[in-house]
Amino acid sequence: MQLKNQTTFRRLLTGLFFFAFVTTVNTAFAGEAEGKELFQSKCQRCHLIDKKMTGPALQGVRERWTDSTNLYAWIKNSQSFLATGDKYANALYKEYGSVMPAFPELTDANIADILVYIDAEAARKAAPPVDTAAGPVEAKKDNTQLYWILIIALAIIAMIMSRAVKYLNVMVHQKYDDPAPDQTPWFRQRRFRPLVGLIGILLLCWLSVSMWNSATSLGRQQGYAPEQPILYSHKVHAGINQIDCKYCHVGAERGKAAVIPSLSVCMNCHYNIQGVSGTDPNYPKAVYDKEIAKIYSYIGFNPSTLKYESEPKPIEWVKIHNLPDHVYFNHAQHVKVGGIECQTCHGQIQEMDVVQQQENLSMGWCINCHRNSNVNFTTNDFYKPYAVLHEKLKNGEIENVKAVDIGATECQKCHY
Amino acid sequence: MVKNTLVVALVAVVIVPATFTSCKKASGDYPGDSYTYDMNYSRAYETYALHPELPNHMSALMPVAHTVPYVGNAVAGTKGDSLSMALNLPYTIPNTPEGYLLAATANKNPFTIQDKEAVETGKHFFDIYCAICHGKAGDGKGVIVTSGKYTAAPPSYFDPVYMAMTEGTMFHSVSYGRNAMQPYAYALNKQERWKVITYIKKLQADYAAAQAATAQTAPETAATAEAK
Repeated sequence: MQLKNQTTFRRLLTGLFFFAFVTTVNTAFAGEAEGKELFQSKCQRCHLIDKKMTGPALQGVRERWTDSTNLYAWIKNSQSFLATGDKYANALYKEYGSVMPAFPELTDANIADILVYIDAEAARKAAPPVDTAAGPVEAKKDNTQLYWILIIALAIIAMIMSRAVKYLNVMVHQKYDDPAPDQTPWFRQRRFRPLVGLIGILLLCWLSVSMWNSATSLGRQQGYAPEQPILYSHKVHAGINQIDCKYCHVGAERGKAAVIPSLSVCMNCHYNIQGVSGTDPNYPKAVYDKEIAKIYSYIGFNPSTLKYESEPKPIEWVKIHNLPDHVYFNHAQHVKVGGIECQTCHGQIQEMDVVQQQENLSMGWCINCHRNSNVNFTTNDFYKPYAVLHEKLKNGEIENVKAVDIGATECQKCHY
Repeated sequence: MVKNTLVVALVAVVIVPATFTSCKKASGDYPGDSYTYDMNYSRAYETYALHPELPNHMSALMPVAHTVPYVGNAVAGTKGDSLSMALNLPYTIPNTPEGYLLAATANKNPFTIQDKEAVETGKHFFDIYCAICHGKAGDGKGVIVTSGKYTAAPPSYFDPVYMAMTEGTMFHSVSYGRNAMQPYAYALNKQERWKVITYIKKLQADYAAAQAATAQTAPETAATAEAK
């Protein structure tokens, strides 16, 4: 009983402490949380704390505006404040060339909260950053060659040793005048014949299979994963950030090529995201900030002034999925009409940091899919003209329509 | 005899397999060997292939000046054709503060929120291009914003300012970009932009209807409570 009381008491005490702690923390940053929410919903569209965007960086805004009533009036309705002819305000308008929308709904207390948040956030940003950047990613060492050398060396040693053992054996027999043992090697002996035969057949099979695989893989590029001019990770963009493939590859639904996104597509986000914001150790800031900076150098963008200053030059991305010249493939037909996921042909792209060709893109692989895939026959108007097949479907003569039924395996569909 | 057998065995087991398997497979930076390079790698210029003669070696060129891409399948000379011609012509209101104000009334949406096809197509494109920041529901809570990666949080479409915003202004913003948002004319032609805006207006109309419904039921419940 006493024990139970003690624990209850202890719990009460910790609870009290915790409560006291929380309240003190809250009072220390009064209004910061409210300010943060308001900042995010009202200001963040155009302003950052430590960097210029559409509007100026907001750190030190209180020092820049000597009269706080002017600042409050400016925030509430910038245009009417401009009309008063304030020098600083007019200079700002000239520099940024855009009008800040009016915020009549903000009260003085609201604005004070926002300013508290700005100061707190600026102080946090000014504090020396915690060094989270790991060293450069070490390349995985390939030890296969070393292993082979070791295996061969060991095999030679084993052979020499077995020879030595054999000769020693013979010498021992000679010394004691024993009759010499049978010298026929084991694989010539009659009783091992089936085993030798079996090994021979297995060896032949293995050789044929590896020859076949190797010869057919020629020109197919399966496993090709070249280094690209920018260390762009599909895993970060399509996987972690869940950006739709078609956001960048705008051609996938519209034409033959899925389209390599132009640099302006990168700038949709990287106009604003100028460095790695996450703390994932797989994507160290030291490495990836430089990769983002590469976009700016290609497109000629100056991230400190937010202006396009120099002549853009193209990035020479390396093409990975290559079909031979004599094959016609159209993305729109598969993505838009067929409704096939990108991953069906390209593998789990959203998990690849470096894109690798997963499928062999051989003709057999194409044909297999054309034979086995059902077509969205009833829901897609594209297939309306197939009157006979629609009739058969209606009558229940066939259960579904495969791609092969509408000519997906005819030669001239892809080769012409 | 023995010698001949040995030679045959050597050829069969060592030389032939070695020949067939010695071609290097694709891995890393190496695309792998091929039998027929000029069939595997197009001699003709494929999309984006390097071109030795053109500026920057780019085979992808800008369209010829003053040409207009025609999207649609309307028959020439019909009413459908004049509509789609108007949609195919370039957007002419300039990207200036005056243009922004002008767009509010000068731009007219050819679609209405009753047009099911327009709303559906609009949703399809909205989910690809807009939802990542503006959120699938249009509340400004897209994945990239809630995860904290993107600092410029977009507004909710259900703020009074945006509820009152005209479709023409929205069209102007989507075409030229606004504040942190960049232009989306690269991905959406005029017709598709109008459909996306139709979908946003539909979201707003649904939201307004839901608000009105709760406002109506609230006094009713209060009244019934009073009656009791």
